[in-house]
Amino acid sequence: MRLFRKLRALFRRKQAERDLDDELQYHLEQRIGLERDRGLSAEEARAAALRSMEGLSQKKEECRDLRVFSLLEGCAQDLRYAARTLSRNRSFAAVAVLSLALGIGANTAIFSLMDVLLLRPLPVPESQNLIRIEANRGDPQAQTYLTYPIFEQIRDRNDFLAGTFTWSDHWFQMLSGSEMTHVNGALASGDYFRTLGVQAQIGRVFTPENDQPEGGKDGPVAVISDAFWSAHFQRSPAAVGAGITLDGVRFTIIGVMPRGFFGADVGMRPQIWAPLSLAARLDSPGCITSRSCWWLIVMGRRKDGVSLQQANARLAVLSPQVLRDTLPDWDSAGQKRYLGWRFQARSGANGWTSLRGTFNNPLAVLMILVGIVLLIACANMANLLLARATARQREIAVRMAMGAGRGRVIRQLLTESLLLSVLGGAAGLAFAVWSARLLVSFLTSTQRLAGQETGIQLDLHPDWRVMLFTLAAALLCGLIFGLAPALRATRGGVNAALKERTAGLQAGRAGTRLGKVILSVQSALSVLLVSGAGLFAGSLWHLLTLHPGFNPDNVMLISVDTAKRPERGAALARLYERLLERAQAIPGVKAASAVWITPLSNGGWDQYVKVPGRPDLTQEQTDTYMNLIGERYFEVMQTPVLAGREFSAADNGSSDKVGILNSMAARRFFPGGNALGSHVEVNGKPVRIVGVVGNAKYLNLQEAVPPTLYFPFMQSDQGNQSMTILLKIRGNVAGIYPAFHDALRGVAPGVPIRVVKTMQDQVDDSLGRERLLASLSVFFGVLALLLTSVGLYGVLAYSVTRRTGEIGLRMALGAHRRNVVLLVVRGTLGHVVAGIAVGVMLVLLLSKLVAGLLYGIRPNDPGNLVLAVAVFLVVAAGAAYLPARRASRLDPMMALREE
Amino acid sequence: MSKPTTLVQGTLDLLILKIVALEPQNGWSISQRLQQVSGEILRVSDGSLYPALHKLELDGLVKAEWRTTDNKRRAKFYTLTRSGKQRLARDAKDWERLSGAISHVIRLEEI
Repeated sequence: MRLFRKLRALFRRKQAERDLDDELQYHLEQRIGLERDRGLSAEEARAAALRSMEGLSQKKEECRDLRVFSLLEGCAQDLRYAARTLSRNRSFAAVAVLSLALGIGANTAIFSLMDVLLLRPLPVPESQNLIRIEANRGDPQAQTYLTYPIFEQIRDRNDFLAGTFTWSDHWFQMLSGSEMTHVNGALASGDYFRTLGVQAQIGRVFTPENDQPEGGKDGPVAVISDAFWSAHFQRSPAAVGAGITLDGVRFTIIGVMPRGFFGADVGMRPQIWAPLSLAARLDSPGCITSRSCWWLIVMGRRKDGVSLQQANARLAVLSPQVLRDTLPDWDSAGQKRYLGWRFQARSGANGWTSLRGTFNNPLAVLMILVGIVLLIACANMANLLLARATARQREIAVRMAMGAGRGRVIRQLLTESLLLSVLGGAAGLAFAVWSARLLVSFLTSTQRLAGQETGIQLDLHPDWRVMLFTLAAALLCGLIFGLAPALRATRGGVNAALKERTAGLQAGRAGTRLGKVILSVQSALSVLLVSGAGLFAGSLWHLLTLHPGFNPDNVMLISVDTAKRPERGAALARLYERLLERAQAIPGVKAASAVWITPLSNGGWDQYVKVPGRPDLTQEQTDTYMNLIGERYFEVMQTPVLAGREFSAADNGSSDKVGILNSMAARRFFPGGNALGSHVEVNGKPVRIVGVVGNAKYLNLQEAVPPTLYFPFMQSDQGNQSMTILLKIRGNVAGIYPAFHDALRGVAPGVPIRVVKTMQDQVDDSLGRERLLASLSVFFGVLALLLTSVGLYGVLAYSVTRRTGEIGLRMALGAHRRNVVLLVVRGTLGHVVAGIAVGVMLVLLLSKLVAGLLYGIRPNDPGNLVLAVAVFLVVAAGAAYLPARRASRLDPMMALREE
Repeated sequence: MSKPTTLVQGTLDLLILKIVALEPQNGWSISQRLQQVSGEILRVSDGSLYPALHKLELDGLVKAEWRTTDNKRRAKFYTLTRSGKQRLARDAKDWERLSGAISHVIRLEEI
């Protein structure tokens, strides 16, 4: 009821205001009449009547406060007033909005990435019921990729899921004109679409009926994306029923998925989906039946009423049977460990992406870094507002004297800071949309030369969560950091406020104490950010300058895909040999070779080897990384051959098995230096060591070089691997690619090229995470310095303005310029130094947390800390210089007259 | 003349309710009435009366309407509502209990 009356009053504001006037007017008139009857003159009677009210306008204000939702009404008024004041103080508003925009924008950008990768639910019905199943191996890292037999067992044996599905990314080879191209797609199990709950926009989706080795009664079928439909069928309904040849298999398109559907992998935008069972006929023939091919993400949808906990409990019960029936062909120790695994369910509401594993920690670190930046930005705003509020002391005093309550004035000041925040937030959002794109380009490296996308695509369109985040950040910032200055400005009521102006020489000091405390907080946080930036930049620098054991300069990588060629084994090896011969002849190519696993691709092949005569080696110690390479590999990579020789044409299928060890393995297995000519056993077969080469990084730059054993691909057992061709070139890359393409067409027509890049690209790409952290932390560090120096400048400049009279007087009395500079800087210096000390302590406390993300630099590296403090001091001195100089150049006469 | 007594906190509402209960009154007449009936002992500043009145109105304890006074002027008249009556009865009882107790204690001391 009360609310209703208030609301009604709100809409009849004018009427209510008139009524109040009338009512009080009536009272006054009666009082005046009474006083006149007592014999007072008209004026005396009027004065007495007003006196009896004890402040007419204040009482009116009290009535208004009661009457209206004066909050709302006042807000509109405050807002108009705030907008007017700010537009009159453009430079103040610009600095405040800009620092907030940078702070909030940086936060929003990082948050929008977190949102996409971690928070946003899949755009499918009731995504909260989706779960993802992984295997707990008893160590912190769960096994996310599972085998097809495991998927089958879980699918067929559970009674708590309404549907179970799995998928794997797949690059389809498609003939486009006369060129083979690659199309990003997915192989999905039969229940994939039904369980996700998404229908085709035209045609239909495939079902378990179609998910059979030969495609079931309809033959091989495929579903295409909206984008693919536009690009290849011009959105014609005739696409449904059309034929398409993928990986050499004739598919019938049966449906087009709605726009915006991408499945359950957040980072991917598949163009084509085909039933998983067809994998046997496509590129990865062995995997579908293999019990040790870990390539599938398994997801499901909980039945109604089954909670995640219940699903987990049932999975735990199910685990032993499933594991028993899917035992991989490992050694007995491995199988024993395998039987100890347990399957567990995670929420699948947000889908899945491989980017999560890589960027979880860096994103958390970045979120903290930007949080600190925002704190500094807000502190800056508090300082600016504080300075302004003090400068406006008189205005505030007058307003309070005229009857404005303290709460009312505070509200008005808060409105101003909130308006600034919202403006800053809006600008920040724009900044975020732009910078988040930049962030993604760090996450996904584009394959430059061939102009191919990696397939990783993130939808960075800011959704409501991002908007809400920005709004909350902006409002919190405005509220918290606008409140302190507002409280301070109105403290002590009318009298104190009016007196402030006349307080003369000492006024400047007390007035900015809060400002100085804020300044020391900013200093501490800046030192923290700058030293963090130093750590990450240092890590990147170490990684960039370390010698990986090969020379990436002028090496071109071309991955070809020969899976569809009829040749196998020796015949395929000969095909590669012919290709390398042709490549060698291309003008500009100094040397050509081939490799199976490109170094630094985070992919690897490792096995235990047996070293005859060394039973003392533990299994751990004989874990050796292997690779298949061609002739002249070490010449192309410029890895030194320390002993023996490279592989030659004579090391082929008909000769002895040979291998080359890196010096790490040679020293471990043959400490006597007799590696050359000795044998190691791999899979029970002896391999004669014909060479020892320098250590070269294998999986990535961060990990130490593992013991490595190289084999000639000519002797490969299976001989069906698609190789990457390495070309050591002279000068320009651009002319060589077409020539190689011709050579490839001459040797093996129809073989598509998957990836073209330089070895340097490979090195750069492998440092995506470090680059992201280093660039952003440096950016944020610079931002922090910038914001803090603006704050420092503001405090000093303001104090100089306030103390113009004092400074003038001192100078008139003979103070030297140096003394004046000292006078200006002294009060602030202590706070800055205290801030630095706190900052250093923070670094020592917190930097341990990022130790895992660093390479070659300790978290509390003293050099880095000293550098950070030095950088901060230089910037701070720069910011202090301008106001101090202005103070020292004051004309005493002018200054005194001004006072 | 002794100084007018300042009101005990919170009693102004009770007094207003009581005065309005007798007949509809406007602000001015409430203030006059208050002085009259309390024998000039209780003095409420003219100013303080209005915020109190408006609060009672918002709380729905009194309702207001514009009427013409005896001297043909428009004035806002306050009347007690049903819930105002209940509140008055309750508060008056509380007050009597309280003041009775207090006087009792004071008399004890005088003996």
